[in-house]
Amino acid sequence: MSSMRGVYTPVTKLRRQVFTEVARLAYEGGDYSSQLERIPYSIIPGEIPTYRESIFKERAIVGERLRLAMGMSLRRIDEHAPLSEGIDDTVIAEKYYEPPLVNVISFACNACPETSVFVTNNCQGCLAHPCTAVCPVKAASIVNGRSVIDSTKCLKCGRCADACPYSAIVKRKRPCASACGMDAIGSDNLGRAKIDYDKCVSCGQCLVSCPFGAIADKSQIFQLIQAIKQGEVIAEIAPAFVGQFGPSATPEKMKEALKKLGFAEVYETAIGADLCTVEEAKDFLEKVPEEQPFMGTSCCPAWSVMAKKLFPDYAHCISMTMTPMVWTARWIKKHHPNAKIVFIGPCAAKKLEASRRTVRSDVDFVITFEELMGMFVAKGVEFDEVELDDPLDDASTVGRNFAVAGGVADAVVDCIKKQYPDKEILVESAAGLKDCRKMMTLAKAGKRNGYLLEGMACPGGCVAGAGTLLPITRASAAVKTFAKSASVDHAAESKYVDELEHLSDV
Amino acid sequence: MKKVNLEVCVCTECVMMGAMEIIDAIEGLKSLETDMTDMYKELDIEVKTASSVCAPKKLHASPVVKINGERFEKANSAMIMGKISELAYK
Repeated sequence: MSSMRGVYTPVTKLRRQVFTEVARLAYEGGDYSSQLERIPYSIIPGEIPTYRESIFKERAIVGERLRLAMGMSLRRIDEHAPLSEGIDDTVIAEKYYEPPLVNVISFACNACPETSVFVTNNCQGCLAHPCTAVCPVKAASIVNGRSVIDSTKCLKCGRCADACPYSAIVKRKRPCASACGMDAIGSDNLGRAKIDYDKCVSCGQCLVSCPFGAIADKSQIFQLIQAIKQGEVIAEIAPAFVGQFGPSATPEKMKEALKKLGFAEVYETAIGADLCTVEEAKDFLEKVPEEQPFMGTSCCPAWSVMAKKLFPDYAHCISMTMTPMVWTARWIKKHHPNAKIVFIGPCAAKKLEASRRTVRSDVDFVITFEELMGMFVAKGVEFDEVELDDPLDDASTVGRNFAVAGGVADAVVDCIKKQYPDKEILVESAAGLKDCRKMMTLAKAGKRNGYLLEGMACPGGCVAGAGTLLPITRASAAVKTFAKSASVDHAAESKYVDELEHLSDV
Repeated sequence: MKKVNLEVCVCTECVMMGAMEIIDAIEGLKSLETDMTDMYKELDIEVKTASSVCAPKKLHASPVVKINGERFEKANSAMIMGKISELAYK
């Protein structure tokens, strides 16, 4: 995981300014085209560039980010087109989506070299020079009293870097590719990052790991606000929201704050987490090991798409249970048939899950916490001024803990143990797609038979999703505290469980 | 002991633009136990948060921090730690 996560950087600032300005544009209305053309000048004022060689380039990058935040595609760099080209098609009160979701703004990319190992000035030319001894292909040698690595021989294993007593050898990885658990990032003909969309599962880890802010996903906030302006929109909010919006934004105030944005009603997605838990516990008891050797959890879409893509023979071993987002949306739709539904969460991959055709999601829009924060700022919602109305109280402790790595498996085991206290359940949890792949490889080799496997694409679980604002450890602690405050402890005690059968077939 | 009064604005916009990271940086300084921070130990840093520190609101001013009453706009942890460092070495 990139050490940049959880640190507020100029890239973070830029991303949030873009969301805020797009939300403001949508709320205020007017001549969208001309206003959009002006926004880069408002975000990047003056004549002097701040971070790059040219202020024109800085504004051009902001322009492309604005287009993605509006749901539009990137412009071709070799053809003339105004920033607002195609904007009329996006002014709709429903989702506007042109694939792909995750995009490299190629002229913002630093064209970082793919993995390389090199010797820095720290090299002391020491007598021991273990770098040469540990190199398996003898690419490291001492020349003129210093270690030199022959890049034509080097396998980039990094053993020399590990062995150097002066930390003089550096293994440099491309941050985006290093964060990608699918090995989906290659290079174009100019050495810039290029995503292989056959491999990408849209987890979004590359976009929060690029130090040049060259990768961004598409947003739906502009169309969501159009829908809010026109009719009834109901929000379901994922349990990872706790603590994301600052010290004044206590969980008790979230429902009322969201209503100030125009949402008609607000529910916890942890309702669906409880339903998902009950179904997965039932599935596990029925199918493992009789019908399938192990069972993978279903709730993380990037994990489940990865498992089905790379291990197609074991696709049936990933639970077919609907995800918490979909369960909750089904419940809302049943009780509010005319409402549009937005899922607010930490996740980029949910944007694609909501569009899947295999399972009707009932979710009209998906936005992230970071995008929601832009809406709060654009609308001038201050949590200190929000009155406590009707706090969220829909879900159980274990349902809310879905947001933290290990929480899903804990919930399912807890549910099984309630029925069969003496049953031993083997569990393995993996967080981060690289570790998820290792777990599936072991499962494929028959080494995880009888197991419940929890997969989370983001290292740390949903609290580490690409659309979060808070450092991961603090977010985990905040979710756990909120979970403890739930009025029921176990998924099966949820008041929504009685409706489970009616929701799966509506 | 030199008293340093820090007021960090935690209104929605200031939080979005990095106010919490400034608080984290100050807390991080307090937790450092190396010799290098001896002169910092002479500082008595008190951090207060409120949603009104940035009032009256100005466009693109967030986050706003006040150090001993002096207002800093578009603050970031590097800027604020720099100011604290100046006070430590004074």
